[in-house]
Amino acid sequence: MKQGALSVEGLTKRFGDTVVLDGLGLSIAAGGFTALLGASGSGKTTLLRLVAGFEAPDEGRILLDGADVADVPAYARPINLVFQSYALFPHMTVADNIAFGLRREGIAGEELQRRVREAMALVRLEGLGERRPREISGGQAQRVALARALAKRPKLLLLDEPMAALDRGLREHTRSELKRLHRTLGTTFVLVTHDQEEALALADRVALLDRGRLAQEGTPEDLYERPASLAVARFVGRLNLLEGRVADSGGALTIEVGGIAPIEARPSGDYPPVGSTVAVGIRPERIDFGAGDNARTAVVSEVTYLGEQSVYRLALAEGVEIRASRPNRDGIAARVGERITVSWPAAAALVFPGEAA
Amino acid sequence: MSGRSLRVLALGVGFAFLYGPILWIVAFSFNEGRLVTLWSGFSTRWYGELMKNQRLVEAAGLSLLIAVASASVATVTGALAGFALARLGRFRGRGLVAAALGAVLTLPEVILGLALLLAFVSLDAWLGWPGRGAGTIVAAHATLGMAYVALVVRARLADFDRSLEEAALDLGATPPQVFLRVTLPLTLPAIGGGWLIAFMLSLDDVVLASFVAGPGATTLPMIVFSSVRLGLNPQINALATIMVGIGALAVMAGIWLLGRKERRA
Amino acid sequence: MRRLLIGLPALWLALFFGLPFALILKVSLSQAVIGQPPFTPLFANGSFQGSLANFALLLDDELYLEAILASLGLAVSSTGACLLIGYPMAWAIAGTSRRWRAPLLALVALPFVTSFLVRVYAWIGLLRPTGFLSEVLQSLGIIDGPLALVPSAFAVAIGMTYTYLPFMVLPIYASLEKIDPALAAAAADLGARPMRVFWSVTVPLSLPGALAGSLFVFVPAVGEFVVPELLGGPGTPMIGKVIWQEFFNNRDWPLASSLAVVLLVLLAAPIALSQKSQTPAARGLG
Repeated sequence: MKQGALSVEGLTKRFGDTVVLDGLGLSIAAGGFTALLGASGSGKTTLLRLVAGFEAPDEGRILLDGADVADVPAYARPINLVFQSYALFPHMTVADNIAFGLRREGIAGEELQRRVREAMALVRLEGLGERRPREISGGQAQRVALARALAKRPKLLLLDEPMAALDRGLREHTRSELKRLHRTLGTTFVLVTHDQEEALALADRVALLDRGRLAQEGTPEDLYERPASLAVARFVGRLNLLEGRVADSGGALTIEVGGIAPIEARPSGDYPPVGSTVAVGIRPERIDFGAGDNARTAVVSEVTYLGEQSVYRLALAEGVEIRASRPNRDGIAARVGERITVSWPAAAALVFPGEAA
Repeated sequence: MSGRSLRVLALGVGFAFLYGPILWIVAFSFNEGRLVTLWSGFSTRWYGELMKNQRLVEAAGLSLLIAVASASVATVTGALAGFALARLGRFRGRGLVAAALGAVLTLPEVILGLALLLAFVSLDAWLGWPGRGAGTIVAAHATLGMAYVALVVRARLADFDRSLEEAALDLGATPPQVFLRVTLPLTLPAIGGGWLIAFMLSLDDVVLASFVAGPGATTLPMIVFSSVRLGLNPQINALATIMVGIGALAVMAGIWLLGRKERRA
Repeated sequence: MRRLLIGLPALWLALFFGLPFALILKVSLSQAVIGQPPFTPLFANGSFQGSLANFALLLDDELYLEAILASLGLAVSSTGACLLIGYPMAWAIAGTSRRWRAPLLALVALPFVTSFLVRVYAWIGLLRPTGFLSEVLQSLGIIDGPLALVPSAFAVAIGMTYTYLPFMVLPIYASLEKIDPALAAAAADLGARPMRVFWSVTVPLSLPGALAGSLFVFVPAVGEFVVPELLGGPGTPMIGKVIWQEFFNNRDWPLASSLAVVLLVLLAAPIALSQKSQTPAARGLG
């Protein structure tokens, strides 16, 4: 059986009067790659510190493979952390940094050498063992931090914003390295990040935290395509939002929005009652140029060229604007001032009952 | 005037002011004649006479002993205080400890000397301890030095990346191991620097020592002070030159320690 | 562990800081006698014997008030002189390339670790009638006869400025160094000439350092003993010197204690104010 399943139940943490975690419940399967996603202040860093053992919860339990670890001190938990700042010991060589955790387990001599070499090979750090942390690059420092944590063969590896200190070029590379490491080792990886793109790209499960609670947990696709709430939909990806009132719910849902023709929607799940206020969200890439469901004319008011795609600002009526994105495979699709027909499938509209946009 | 020449001017004036008097002392310590204002030829005779001055040599030995002892005591108590203030969060009496250390740093020495003497006299009356002599000078200097050591250690710990300690904890080091293997090695340069400051303060102090020494113990600064009060004396120039040399060595040692910190941090 | 960490320094401070200051307060309320110890007990025959007689005497005798005023005046002039010499130095050091800063700062701190007594002693030689300054001024024809600058209040001010100058330079440097160079560049970009940049950006942002430095100079200068003893004559009765004389020459421990209490009260506010700045200012040291 795989090890490293983490679950938290009713986890609450307060700092003074501020409730940072509010009865949080969450399960993370063994061997998976899960991203804890959230804006700053969502409680994701506090959750990480509680799991690592740097803070004690006020209420609730933290279970690792079914056993409560709340009373196990940080140094005795089979959980290791890659710090955002890497936290490499400046007074030790790279090899000594990696050996630090192994020595604490009483590993010495040949075995120690072998395990250090193994960890350095894993992250491709061969030949840097005698350097000091200040003598290596940022990317190398990150790999040392990874090797140091992985050398302990933890059941669970926590990664705190691992890309934050890296420049863009290095991020792509590091992403595929992390995926490779996860595939090779089968260790449970938990990534803490505020960057939704990073979470979607790396993880096979994403847990979105919002104000100390779990907003949604699922695959990246679940969160993007089937957001559980308006907050999730707004945090993950871009969204056009319109506010309206349900006029008819026979067959498709008909939603009246001020100033433009009614919108037809076929959301999954129960339909909200007629007369209720709803928020309608449409992803920019779901808007087609041409006839179809929800067809209407629009005036292009701005075009932003982004290389692989362009983003078009479209005025549907006075004061009602949406954004659409189209790939640039066939060149720019419309010019500023042009009058075009746009449409979107009824199933593409996300409907959030009782919420104001 | 350009920024560059303004800078050179500011530093020129400042350093001339700071070093002119010291250079004057050094130069006239090698003067042949007895007058310290009239140059009459190069000689090292005053250094020779200095070495023959038994009272002075003895006092210098005592001063060194007191400086080493008080700096060492100050380093232990000061480093503990620095750690407590920087790392223990809130504890009862924290404000008092911090305020007392801060006051020791800035208080005029005359007040501190008088207060310490009253305490020693009273303790002696109640407990028959500690009497007055080298021991009380060590205690007085250790109190002054402690404040400096605590200040330097605290400043170092305040700049210290807390995640280093958490990383050690995360990798399986127990709290005592975290302290010994991470916190202490990274604070050691500051502690060493603190010891040096306490050592130099003790070697230099005349006011505290005069108050608390009693008739038994006479330190080098006390002798220098009483002879300077009587007027200029080329022997004092020679002694001063030696002290300047020791001070310069201490600073170089300090820079070396700092350099080590830089290289490591 | 935790107990030891706090307990040892706390005990030390209680014994060698708390107790001494409680005793100064106590002795300031008693009277001098010939004996061991040379002051009357505060409680005798079951009743409180203390009085404010010493403080009344301090108010009564103009000598003490003059000493306090002279001390404050000299401390203010020395602080001003330190600021005048020290600020440009700190500014110049902060403006040099990174490679030069550490050695220049070490040069500022170096006199601080050479003997204080020795440095004051040097000024006797430089300022006396047959000394360096007098000779130079005479040979330049600026003055006619020998110039006796020592002992004088002027010499005391020079001595204190000289002694405490590093205390001024280091905190000012620390605050100047923290200023983002982009701010000066932004001010210049917005049309400010160098002098305007200096007065509108650099000076305001370095004020905390200047204030800290001024306190570090002012507080010890007010109670200074060695400098006025060596460079000042009977005409400069600074309070530190008066305390010393009451204690050593007149053996009046209670009067010396009450003077110390007065000085403490005078300095309480500046000492409290300087506490905040100590840790930041110490970063350069350790």
